[in-house]
Amino acid sequence: MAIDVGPGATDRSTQTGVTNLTIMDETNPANATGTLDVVELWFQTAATQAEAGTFSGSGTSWTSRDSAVIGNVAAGSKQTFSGLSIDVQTGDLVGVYFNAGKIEADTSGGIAWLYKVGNQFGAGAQTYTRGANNVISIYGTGTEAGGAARRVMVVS
Amino acid sequence: MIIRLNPTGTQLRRERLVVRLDIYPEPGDATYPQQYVDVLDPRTEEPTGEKRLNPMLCHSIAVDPAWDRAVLITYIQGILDKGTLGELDRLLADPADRKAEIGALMKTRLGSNRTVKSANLEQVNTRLAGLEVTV
Repeated sequence: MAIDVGPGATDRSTQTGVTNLTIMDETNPANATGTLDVVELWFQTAATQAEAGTFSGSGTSWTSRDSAVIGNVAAGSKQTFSGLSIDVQTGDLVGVYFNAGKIEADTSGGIAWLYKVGNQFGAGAQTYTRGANNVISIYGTGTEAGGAARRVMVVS
Repeated sequence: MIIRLNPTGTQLRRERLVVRLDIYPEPGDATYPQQYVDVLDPRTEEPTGEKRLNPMLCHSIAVDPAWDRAVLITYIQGILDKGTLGELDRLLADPADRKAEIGALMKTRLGSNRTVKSANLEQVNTRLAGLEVTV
């Protein structure tokens, strides 16, 4: 089964205003356990030192599970990153850290974003600020663990 | 299409030396109109009238630290040939969700299996500075 996580990387009506930020999105948690190999982002202003990854947790307490440095991200169009291999489990959220830059966002239509200043990947359990209804432009896809080799055996 | 090494993606991850390759479309490619974008004034957020070309895909591969520039270029030409880039261009330009196919296509093009305990990333970037492959 294909894994997907995140609300989608689209050109939205506004953008985040804070830099040096780790931000994740509650919309569309991961639907299975496996590996994310593609992440899409849409920035309104180019990002620097970006890192994308997954988080486990609930409420406002989340722990980064895995991440990959992606570097600078161009602004003004959907940017697709492949070859990443980021661990993900069912229910995880996808998020991104960036130093400079503004990611496309909407202030309605989502479930919530969760954010904290600084790079929180590898920082253990952290408390994030939750902004209900907000949504950012991020999306990850991948493959379920063991999914490619799955077969059905019929025993009669 | 043009493939350029982007030094901001160079990293040591899971004992692999990883570099990022940015793939730029050319006029006539299906993704070109999506990635030939307006440059915004950072202060007013209004278009400046200038345009900029963004990559259609940024792909990370593991490299063997022993590879020199020529070996890496040959490797890139092997995994990102005209057929592969044409297929990527078609999938990325498709308004339908083709990400699973993109992931599957690129999953077989992840580079070297050579493990690395440590690496001087600045030296790697210096050695590979300006690396560009036209396919």
